[in-house]
Amino acid sequence: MSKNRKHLDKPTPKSWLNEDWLAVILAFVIILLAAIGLLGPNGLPIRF
Amino acid sequence: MSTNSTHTSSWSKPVRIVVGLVLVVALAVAAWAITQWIYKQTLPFNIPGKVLEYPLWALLVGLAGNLLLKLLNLKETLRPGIRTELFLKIGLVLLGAGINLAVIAKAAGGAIVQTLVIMPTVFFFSWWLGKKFGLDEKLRAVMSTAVSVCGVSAAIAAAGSVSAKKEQVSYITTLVILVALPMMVIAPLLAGAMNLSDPVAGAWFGGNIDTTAAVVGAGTIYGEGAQEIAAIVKSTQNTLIGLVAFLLALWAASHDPKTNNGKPSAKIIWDRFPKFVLGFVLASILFTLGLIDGGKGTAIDALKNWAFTLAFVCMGLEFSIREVRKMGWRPVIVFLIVTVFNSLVGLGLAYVIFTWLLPIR
Repeated sequence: MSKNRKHLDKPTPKSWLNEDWLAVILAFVIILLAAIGLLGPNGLPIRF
Repeated sequence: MSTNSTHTSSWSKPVRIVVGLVLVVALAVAAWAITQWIYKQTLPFNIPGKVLEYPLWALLVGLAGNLLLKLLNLKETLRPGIRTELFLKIGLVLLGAGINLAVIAKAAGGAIVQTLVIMPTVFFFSWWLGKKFGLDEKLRAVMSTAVSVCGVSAAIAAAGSVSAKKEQVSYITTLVILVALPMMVIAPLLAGAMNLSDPVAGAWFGGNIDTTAAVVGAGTIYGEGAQEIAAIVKSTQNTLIGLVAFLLALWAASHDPKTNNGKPSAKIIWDRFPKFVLGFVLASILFTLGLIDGGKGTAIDALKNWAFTLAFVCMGLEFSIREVRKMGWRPVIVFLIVTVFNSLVGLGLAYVIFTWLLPIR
């Protein structure tokens, strides 16, 4: 709990930066898999 | 947190992440099943069940899961697997894969004008009102950025820039989520009652609702056209996080030299810059060029909906009424007044810009 009292002395929260890039990479993996046909009607039929 | 120790506290972090993710996915599937059932129903007054879109059910299922985790004393244990921002950003990049840049080009002018007017207006109103209510300067900086730019990410960026306390960040983050949840449902209803066009409604949601998730949710509830414009307006605001963080860092450097010994650099802007915006734009370029297809009914579109469902489940799971109680009420009052101000200014601007100044189609 004492951690909550600390100031954010590091102006760049690295975990958020990493999560940002991770999201972009994962999204483009999905896009790539769809582009080469592994996801979709001729591959894994993902629906919502 | 140590008071909540159970046998699960000995779980390693990877186990906590995996179990948390499994729970989130299970809840998302439950939300999807409810959505599919609701879509087939007819609501009172002959309203089709489809108006109650999936973000609402994902949120409610997440809140139910939140309650269950609290009862089982597992919330903190599984928190590492609850990744709202990750799912949200994946969904936003995938959303970009279905947006033709021609649409962005049409809306961007209006989105930029709207953002450049509304952001400083709301920021300085919030700053002024917070001062009147005697709020701490750093809390005001975080709150004003969260309300005027884009919610949680902006609050975090602002907090880093001014070296705010972590509890101030959690305070504002909770407020942002607390207010965004009902706004996500109420704003589309109000827009419908005012018979707003899709572009005006979308621009209003994008410029007014604080979290990107709730903006997308409100747009989704209102209609596909509104969702696109809402995402574009919000993305325009998101791109300015870096600039606002940079200006706040400059301000903090001049006010608090002990905790900010640096001269804010271009690196700060880059570090604060939301990278998913780059992914969103790149995916849109690929779609516009016909290299990928993320349009309606495609696998990418389906996975976008799944990503947003997961994000909304996480939002419900993270919600904390206790945090609000701890914070006291003065900042809440300021936040609510600023939100109403933001809504009114945002509605007026969206109407003027997207109806008369820079209409779409």
